[in-house]
Amino acid sequence: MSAESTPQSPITIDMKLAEYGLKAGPETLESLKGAVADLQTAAKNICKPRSYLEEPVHALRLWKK
Amino acid sequence: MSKTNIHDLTIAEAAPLIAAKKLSPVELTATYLKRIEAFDGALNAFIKVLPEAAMASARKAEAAIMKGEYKGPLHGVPIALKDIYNTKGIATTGHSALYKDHVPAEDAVTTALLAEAGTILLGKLSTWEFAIGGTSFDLPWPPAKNPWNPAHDPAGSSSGSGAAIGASLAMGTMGTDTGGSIRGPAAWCGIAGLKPTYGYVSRRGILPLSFSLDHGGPMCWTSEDCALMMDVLAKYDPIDPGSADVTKADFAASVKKDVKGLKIGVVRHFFEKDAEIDPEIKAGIEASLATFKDLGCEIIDVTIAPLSAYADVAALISRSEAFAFHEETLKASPELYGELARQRIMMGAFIRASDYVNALRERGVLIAQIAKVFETVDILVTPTMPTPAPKLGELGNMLSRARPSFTRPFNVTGSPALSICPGFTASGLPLNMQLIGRPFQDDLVLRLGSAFEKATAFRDTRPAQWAMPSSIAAE
Repeated sequence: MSAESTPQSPITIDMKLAEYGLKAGPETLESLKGAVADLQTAAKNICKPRSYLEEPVHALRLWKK
Repeated sequence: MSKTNIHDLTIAEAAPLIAAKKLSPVELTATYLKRIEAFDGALNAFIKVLPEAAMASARKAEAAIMKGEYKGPLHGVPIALKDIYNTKGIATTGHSALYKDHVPAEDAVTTALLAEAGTILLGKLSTWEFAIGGTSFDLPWPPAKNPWNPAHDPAGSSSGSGAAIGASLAMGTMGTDTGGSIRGPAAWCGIAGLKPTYGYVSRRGILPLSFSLDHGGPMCWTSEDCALMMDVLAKYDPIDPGSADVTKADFAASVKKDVKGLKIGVVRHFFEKDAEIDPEIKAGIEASLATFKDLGCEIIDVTIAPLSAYADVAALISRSEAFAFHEETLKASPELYGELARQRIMMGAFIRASDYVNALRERGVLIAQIAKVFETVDILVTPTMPTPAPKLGELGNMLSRARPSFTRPFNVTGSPALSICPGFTASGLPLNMQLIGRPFQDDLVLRLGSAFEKATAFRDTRPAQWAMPSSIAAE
């Protein structure tokens, strides 16, 4: 991958959108650049080994009967 | 009663007058319709006003009450709905060109519950497009403006819901909240707005954004009024898979109880370490803590996960789920979305399945952690918004990691969270504060909010520019 097509670059974002059949103008592509970088940071932050105890099946069962 | 204008009455003040046949729902509704006609051109709170239907409902309510068939505190009360709540036979647009002609065949469950309680529907309210894309200027309808100063932003996505209450264009409104969309507008419009516990209020018939973060809830002038709305709204819906089969609180009774002895945990690191906050907002929080102390509450500093931990989880879940809902229409008709909605929804295309799963896993950890903190305190306090309302058009990208939200953590945990107004800036814009509770203790959160509002004079100040006499005939 060249320096010009890092995951944060508009070129890659454009290509990724094309994979989904989505179109975006230059303004949207530019805004997406920062937003996608934020999402990649977020994903990296929470990527760690997990046990069954952290599986999300019951995460929203806040009530008790 | 010292109030002389009908539109200054809260629901709690109007209800006994209506029940006693001293205040006419017809007169009340006519007053609000007149105010909408006079002022909404400057606020854009409404997408659609329903004068004929509202007056017909008001006459029906009045006739029933005169016959002794009073239904309860919402009977004859004029309300309005964010335009993502389905209304049978009435367009529900999501403030989007895509849904401009979308006329639902059925009411949302909440729409129906409010109608059964005897409310009068005044109309449908502005929102950020599909509750995600705003503040936008490229949609079929203009954005709502701030009722305290129309040059300022009312926040979103329940922008019209906040503006309508702030300018006394309705007595109660409904908003939805996926990351702060009830509490943000409540904060900047200087009103009370409750994001209920996940599962307490049915979402069936509300246009979805992010199924595991979406909440519907009330927005009113006071916390007590939100409680009266919750008495109608909190009902198990077996068809909404997120709905909780729990014993409902008696909100009207609970909100009147004493708050003495409540333990209040201040999440000080949110606004002293994790994020920057406007000095006037901080001063408002500190002054409010002194009021809570005077009310007999115990104040303790507590630590939960940093704001950024919640922001990471919320961003990954909300963008994934929003993209899942909108992907096909975004592909087919991208030109029918506004720029901001299109951009924010498209972000979901860049999240891997494993990132979404990890976010759900981390969410469970955060829910367990906050439950532990709630073993030591009854209520948490944070700011709702880091600043007072900025100028309209200057909101920028609120969803950046550089500016983590104080509201999103409690969409992640599903906790009940209320925004109230603890004063005003030197320039007259509302300050804000958020109260968070244990799951299904929404009534306790509202109780503390109501006690604060009654102990202070901030609910006596309404925006001056929307003055129009409307005498209370019975007085």
